[in-house]
Amino acid sequence: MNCAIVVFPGSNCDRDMAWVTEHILQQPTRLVWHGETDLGEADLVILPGGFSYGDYLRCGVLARFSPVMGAVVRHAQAGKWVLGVCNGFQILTEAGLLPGTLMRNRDLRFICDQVAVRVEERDLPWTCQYDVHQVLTLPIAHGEGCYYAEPAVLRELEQGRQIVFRYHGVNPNGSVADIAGICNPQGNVLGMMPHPERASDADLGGTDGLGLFQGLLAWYAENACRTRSL
Amino acid sequence: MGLGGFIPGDPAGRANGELGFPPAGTMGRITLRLPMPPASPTPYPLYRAEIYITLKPSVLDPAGTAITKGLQQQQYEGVQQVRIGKYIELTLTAPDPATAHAQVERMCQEVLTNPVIETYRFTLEAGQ
Repeated sequence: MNCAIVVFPGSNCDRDMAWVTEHILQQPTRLVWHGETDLGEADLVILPGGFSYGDYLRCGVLARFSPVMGAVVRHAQAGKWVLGVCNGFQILTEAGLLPGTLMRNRDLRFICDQVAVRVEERDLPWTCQYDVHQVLTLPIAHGEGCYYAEPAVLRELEQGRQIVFRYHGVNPNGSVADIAGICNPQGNVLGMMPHPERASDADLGGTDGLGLFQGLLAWYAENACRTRSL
Repeated sequence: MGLGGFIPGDPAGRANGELGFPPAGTMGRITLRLPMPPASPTPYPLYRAEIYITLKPSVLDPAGTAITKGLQQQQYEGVQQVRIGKYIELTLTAPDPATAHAQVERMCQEVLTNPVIETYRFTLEAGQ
């Protein structure tokens, strides 16, 4: 499973991701500078966390205009996997690959914490290694993670079973419907605020996020990049 | 969004490259000659847009709510609501006002605002 991790100016979780894909999963991994326009033979494209373009104007909006994003959009439209974590999730919404947006946290503070996140759907490559309603402990670190979408869009997300992760017990940032992560209708594009890559190495205090990457690998071995049959 | 607000040269004469003001306590008038910016390479005229971006009424504004409470605690009990937005000034060249207007409109829709949560309005006038 070829992994391409896009590096924007201001990304700061790119190497954490590479540690997981290259060293823990032992998969071919390439860091792709945002100025490149070719993702090569990537199966999985990851938009990592950070503060791309200093979060100027709005989080993720300027990254959307990076040269690499054309290739990311084509990759997604081809049905291949795109994972956006934290700032990567913000970029995916700004790029229109996922609906809704991420706003200032309800309490206006940057939150750096471990939170309980419940798995809502498990027929996806992202979650196939988890049980339905399994509760994971994952780190979050964001100031703008309050997910918002119009009621009509929320209904579509619910009906399309696109809400993949919800905060469990405590909603840290005021996200509507406790949303922590959503996918597109086909399921090949996932955006989430919690950081699975920071919970994938036992030496770093937790491995609840590793299942996401292992799930991809297992799914890839069986189905290549194909996701939900809708 | 009309162009009616454009005044060619403000009272201080800045449009002519001069900044004049009477020094305090004198009857005289000192005129400073400021260097003019280099001529624009494009033959198109310059326009100046002032863009106001606000959250849609349906979207909660926690920062605005916090400021409302702060003001009310400072004895400004009459304050009903505070909504925080963004203000952007930009200049652009365009062949005519209609084109400039259309370009600013597109910039607002595609880049400067997030239509999920924000609305905008702008004024456009011929600039220098």
